[in-house]
Amino acid sequence: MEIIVKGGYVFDPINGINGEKLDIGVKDGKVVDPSKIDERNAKVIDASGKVVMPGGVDMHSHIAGPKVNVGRLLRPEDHYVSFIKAIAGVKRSGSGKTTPTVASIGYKYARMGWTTVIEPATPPLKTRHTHEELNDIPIIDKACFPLVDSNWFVLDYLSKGDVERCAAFIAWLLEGLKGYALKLVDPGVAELWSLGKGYGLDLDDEIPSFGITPKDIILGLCKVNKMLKLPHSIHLHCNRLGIPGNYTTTLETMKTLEGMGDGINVHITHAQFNSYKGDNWPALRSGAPEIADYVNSHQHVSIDTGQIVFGGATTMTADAPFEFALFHMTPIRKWAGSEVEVESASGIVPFKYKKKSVVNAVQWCIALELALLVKDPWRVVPTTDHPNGGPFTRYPRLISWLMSKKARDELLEKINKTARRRSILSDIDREYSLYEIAISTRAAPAKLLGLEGRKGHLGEGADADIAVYDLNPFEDLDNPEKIVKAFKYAYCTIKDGEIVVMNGKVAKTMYGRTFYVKSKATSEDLMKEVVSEVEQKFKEWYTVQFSNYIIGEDEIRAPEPIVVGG
Amino acid sequence: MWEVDEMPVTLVPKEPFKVLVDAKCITPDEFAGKSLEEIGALEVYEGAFARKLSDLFEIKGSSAENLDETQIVIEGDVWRVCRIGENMSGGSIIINGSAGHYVGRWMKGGRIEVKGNVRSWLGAEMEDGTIEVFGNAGSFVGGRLRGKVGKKGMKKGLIIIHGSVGARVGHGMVKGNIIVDGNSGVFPGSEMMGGKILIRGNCDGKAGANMTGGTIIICGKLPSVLPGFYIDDIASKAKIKKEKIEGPFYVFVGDALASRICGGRLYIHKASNPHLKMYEELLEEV
Repeated sequence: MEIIVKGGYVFDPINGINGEKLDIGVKDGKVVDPSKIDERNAKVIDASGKVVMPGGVDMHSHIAGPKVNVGRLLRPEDHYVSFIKAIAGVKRSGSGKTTPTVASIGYKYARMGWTTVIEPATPPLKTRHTHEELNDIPIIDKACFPLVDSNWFVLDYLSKGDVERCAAFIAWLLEGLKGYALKLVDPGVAELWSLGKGYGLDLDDEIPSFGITPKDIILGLCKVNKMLKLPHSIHLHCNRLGIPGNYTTTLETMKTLEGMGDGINVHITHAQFNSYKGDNWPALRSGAPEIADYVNSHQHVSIDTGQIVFGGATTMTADAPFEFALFHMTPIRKWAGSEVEVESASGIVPFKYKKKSVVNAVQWCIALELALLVKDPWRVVPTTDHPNGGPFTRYPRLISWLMSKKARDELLEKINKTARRRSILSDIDREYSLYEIAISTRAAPAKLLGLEGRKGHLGEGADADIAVYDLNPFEDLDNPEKIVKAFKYAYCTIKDGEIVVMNGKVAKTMYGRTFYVKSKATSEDLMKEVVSEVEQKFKEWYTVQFSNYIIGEDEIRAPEPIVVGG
Repeated sequence: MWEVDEMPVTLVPKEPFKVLVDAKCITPDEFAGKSLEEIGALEVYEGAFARKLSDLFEIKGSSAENLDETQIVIEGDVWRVCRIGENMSGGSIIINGSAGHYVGRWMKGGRIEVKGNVRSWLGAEMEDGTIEVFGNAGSFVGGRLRGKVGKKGMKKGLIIIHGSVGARVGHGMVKGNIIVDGNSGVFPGSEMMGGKILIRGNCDGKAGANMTGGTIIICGKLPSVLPGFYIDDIASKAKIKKEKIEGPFYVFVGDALASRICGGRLYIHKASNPHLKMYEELLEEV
């Protein structure tokens, strides 16, 4: 189908287009020169007076995998309150607010104009489940990051100092599991959790069974990442997450990786949970200025914010000891935890963020401070770490806070007084422009993921993922409610050259691709050696057969390999 | 039982239902002040497909302007029709047959009368009103929905069941009364926080598990009392809704595993439970 999006104000940061009135042509799922399209045969979308952006890219959102499913089971009450009806031939039904069902995730993202979403943590052994769920999410393109930080193979190789073999193993793992990048969650903690310990594991604490420290793991895997030339840097959930005073650990982590070569070599994810100052919870203060200062003065770090949004949430992370500690802090008495053989662990606790709570209000301020104090929008991505800080459906609200000081001040009046006094948020006058929003929600994540060739921009040859918002950049921006409304229901969303959302309503169900990485950077001989080694150890350690561990391309609906390093 | 006004809205199923029907629109609140055509146009789901109410039911009579005067009569078995009377706040519904799940869920007032049996979740999380069932009921009568933690069960009102009930009657209830003339399944009054449950027949066991308040009166046989309960007294009478029930009753307090205060009371009829006589010794010691 040929489509032409006419007369909109285009925001396309990768190509440096800032609000110019342009036409965008779409042919065979790609963006083309509009002059090549015959208007008489094409579907014309009138975008005059509207904003046209590339489709949104969410680089950290827990949308699929075993722990997401356990979250759904743990929270049936979440599914009474929100549901979408099926329309025969158009869309499937679904329910759930913070733990939406598989189909509704795709529709809700598309409705907001987001078209690429990454599941950032999947235990390797259960990645088959993750892919089964990803296969079933309509509309959006997706990828998943396998957890590697507590994997016995990785720990074993790193404790021997054998980075090359470790790299070969990781290359095999990513290709075998159809993963995209390396996720590290509180490095080493899942190994200790299998012994019932691990809460507050610091960078220099030793992991007794292997004799290495989290610092060694981070450094080792960063080297592996460079060696394999993976498109995304290591995706790091820092140590001591959610413990007051942890901003020093975060700074230390970033300093550790300073000399690791050019470009961005670490992505600190949901940095808000790692920017706490103060000795205990009641004395919690923001460490955001320190973290932001570091990010501003160094070029090797990117972050996403992990904004909390007041209201219900379901915290789920592979940081199992922290979730167990959180369970003892919350009034909602529910918790689920698990441990995956020799690979990973996870925990789930339902949570409610309250405006009147000092801790929650400070958390809210920290994330906004991070987003506003980091000067380079190409290295800070606003996320809610769905569903930890709040569901992804609250992104429009988050965007309105970033774009309007008025919206921030309004909410600041309502939150806990002590938290307001402690925060410097009222002194920050910066407001994101639409161009900066287009960077931080589209271009920057696409670039950080190494997908900037096809995602996050509207240049010729890019995937035709386009979002049109009913927002006039010259009139509506001083009204935060209009911003929220515009981003909540996109006027039109185009995915791969097909109109999937029109007037805020889903118009079509189609299925996107799953990206994964094939790295050719290791020599074939070494690879063979490592694989036979792994095969031996599988007999010793695993409950599954080696051959059943690898996920075939035929098990994925639309596999899209990205070949690197060869 | 109460008399039917001269002109209720009468629904008659056109043919037996093959799949579950979601009919949350069958409430006096929806029907009040609407003509029969408007009522017939209300949306119901038969399985996965949207239908009009008039596709499934023949609609007769006339509806009142006023909510409290609105009466709905359903003639025939609707045991596959769920969510009848959900969220209703006044008026009355009479079902001359059996009904499905979730009858009277979240109801805030009014009356429901079922001549046949009902399935599970009767009056779940109801806030006020009266429900009377002449047959049997399924599990979770007046119960809290899955997954919710805290004060979320039945909050007020009265449920009378002339037949028997399944498991977990009054699960997590906060206030109100449930009267069961027949027998009860396992776990009556589990996680209960207040209110009263009367079971005139026998109980399958595990009464009052995790209860922190409220009263359960069992007139029939109870196989055993859970270990979280202590014997407190022997009472000559038990009371529910001004009705006095002749005893004597063993009175247990608990559940000690749920709270140290032991706010729950378990009245077990002495004459029907001779195997609980050993508890009397413990009582004398105190």
